Amino acid sequence: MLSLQSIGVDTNILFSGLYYQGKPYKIVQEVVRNQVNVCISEYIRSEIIRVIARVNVPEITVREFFEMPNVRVISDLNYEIEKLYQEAEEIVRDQKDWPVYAFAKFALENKLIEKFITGDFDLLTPEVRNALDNRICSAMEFLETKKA
Amino acid sequence: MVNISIDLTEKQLEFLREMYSTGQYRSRSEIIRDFIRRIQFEWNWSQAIKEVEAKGITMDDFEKARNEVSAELLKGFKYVKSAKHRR
Repeated sequence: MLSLQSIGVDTNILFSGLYYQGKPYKIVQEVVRNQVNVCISEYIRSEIIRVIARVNVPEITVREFFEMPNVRVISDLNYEIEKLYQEAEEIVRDQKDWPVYAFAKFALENKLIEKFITGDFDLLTPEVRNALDNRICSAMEFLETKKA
Repeated sequence: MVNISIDLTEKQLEFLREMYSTGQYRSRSEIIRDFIRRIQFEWNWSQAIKEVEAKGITMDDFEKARNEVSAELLKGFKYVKSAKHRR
């Protein structure tokens, strides 16, 4: 049996994939069809749950998504180490993206994921891509590599 | 869990055998449960997308909410105290 690719996703990918039918939707489809594993951080889970309550979209979709056997929430708080946040502060402009960067770096270095997918342009700058060994990408870039 | 019996065609039964032989599932029941879970999710998922469209909620609404939420969540983070760049 082939092992599945593991990816990390940002809050915006989750929200877009679960409530709209753009490129992130196709990524969620791959998760549903057991074609890819997903890892997210506890921070991202907390964030999206609060966001969906605030914008008043159906909560059941997100809850069922987190219950899928190939979706894993990493509660290990080792990704909250200061070094990762200091690095984020140097190269990531938007403060709200620092926990996302820290998790992506931690998860990639510890081989929990092979790629991290985000829709946030502040995380797709050359500096961030370089810091993450070019293993961070947009939804479109990820789907194109799957086609190849 | 509740035990039920279902009628399947020969082709469907053969498909279950093939799925079982992949080693991904421990039983035919687990396969059926997984498929029902997926159908259930896809049903709720399509309803949610329709509801969001009907309400006219956009990604801008999401970003606005996310900015507010992250400000709340980051209050407790001890590492977020000396930002050089602020939005």
